[in-house]
Amino acid sequence: MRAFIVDDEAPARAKLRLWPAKQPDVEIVGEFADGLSAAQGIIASAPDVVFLDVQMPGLGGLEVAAQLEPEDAPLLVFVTAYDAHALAAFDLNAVDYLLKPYDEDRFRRALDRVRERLESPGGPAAAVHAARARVGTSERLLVPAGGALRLIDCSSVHMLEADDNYVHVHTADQRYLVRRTLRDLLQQLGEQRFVRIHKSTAVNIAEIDSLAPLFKGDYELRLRSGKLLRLSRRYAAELFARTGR
Amino acid sequence: MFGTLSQIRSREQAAQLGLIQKALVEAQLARLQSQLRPHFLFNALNTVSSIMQSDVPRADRLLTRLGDLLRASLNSTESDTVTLREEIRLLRLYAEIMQERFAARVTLSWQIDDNVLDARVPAMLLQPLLENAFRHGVEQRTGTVHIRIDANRDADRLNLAINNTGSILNSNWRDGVGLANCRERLRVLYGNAASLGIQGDGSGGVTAFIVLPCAPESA
Repeated sequence: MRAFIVDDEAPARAKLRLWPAKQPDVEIVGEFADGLSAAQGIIASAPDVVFLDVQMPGLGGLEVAAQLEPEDAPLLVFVTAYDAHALAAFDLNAVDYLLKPYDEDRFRRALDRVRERLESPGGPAAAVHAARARVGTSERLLVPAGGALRLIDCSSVHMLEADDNYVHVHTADQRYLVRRTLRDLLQQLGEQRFVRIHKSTAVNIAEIDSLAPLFKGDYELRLRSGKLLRLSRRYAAELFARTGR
Repeated sequence: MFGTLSQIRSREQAAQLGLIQKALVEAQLARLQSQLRPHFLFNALNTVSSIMQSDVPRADRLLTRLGDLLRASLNSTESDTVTLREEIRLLRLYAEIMQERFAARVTLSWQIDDNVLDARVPAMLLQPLLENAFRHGVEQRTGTVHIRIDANRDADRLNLAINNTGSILNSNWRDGVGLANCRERLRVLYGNAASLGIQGDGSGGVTAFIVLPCAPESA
């Protein structure tokens, strides 16, 4: 199995590195000291398993998990000094959780559980969904920008536009292409902030400026940026209910 | 089975003693928890368990520091005062342990005037302030954070300050458990004569400061 080690403290990484070296079927293919670069690494090289610290600067372990695409996500073993977080990780459908400090026996048991799970598919997706439920809706979204990934503030997103298996994420002055479905993205960002106005389009509720009726129950929706969009009849009732119109 | 009256009585007394001891331990643990968070202890232990794999003497040193710190923390009570010299020694123990964890992510400088070392301060008073500098500064940043500890006096006032370059003061921040505890202790020990404050330092960091009354310097 190809494994990642993610912890912001060097001694903690050294310890995670120690025992896999003795296992012929485990290869450490990446080591990261913060959540953002770990998320980039996971998306770029798709490891089988990630030993993921919960407390890190910037993106914590749970936030990293919440950003992953459910179907492609690696197996996750959370590593933490916190009891509360450890229990959360258990609910998270994580393969296992390691409480700091842990010994070699405990680490081997975690590896055994990873091996078992690698043979029975379907685990990681559940872990990502559970991480999202746990973290609540994400305040920040990981998007590709140039060759790297960037974290953008969800409140800066004006509109989401589905395009096959991709979604265009529009901010005031940028557009990012994310390989996710609109449904999955809306689940992550939370339905409080975004509302669908069309089968393939959702807008940030805070960015809606005005609505003008068109024919057959459709509306013309104007964003604060001036952009005009069509609100389809099918989604109008929900939008009115949500915005109290 | 039932025993004599005196046996029953001594059994009751033993049970009561047990309860009192339990309550005492719980009270001590509660205090320990407010001074040294479990998070700190578990991470420090994990660091020891990593370092001992490659450098036993260094791990041993670290464990000894941790022991010293725990002992001081368990032994001190709300009303205890110690010399600032001792308080700074404990702060350095804490800082050393944290430096093993964060290595190049933190640098510390100590600006402690000689003429304040014998002043008496409440035991483990500065500990939560230094802990905050790590928790809200160092632990939130991937780059290097500088922590500066100042202690000096002007006339009958003792000025203690801990600045870190890594944290940002939110406009809606509130005292955590550690700070609330400090405030309460200062109030009980000094009434209005002492103060504790947190402020942005104007260059992107945060300073926590405590001003205490102290006996004027003897000539």
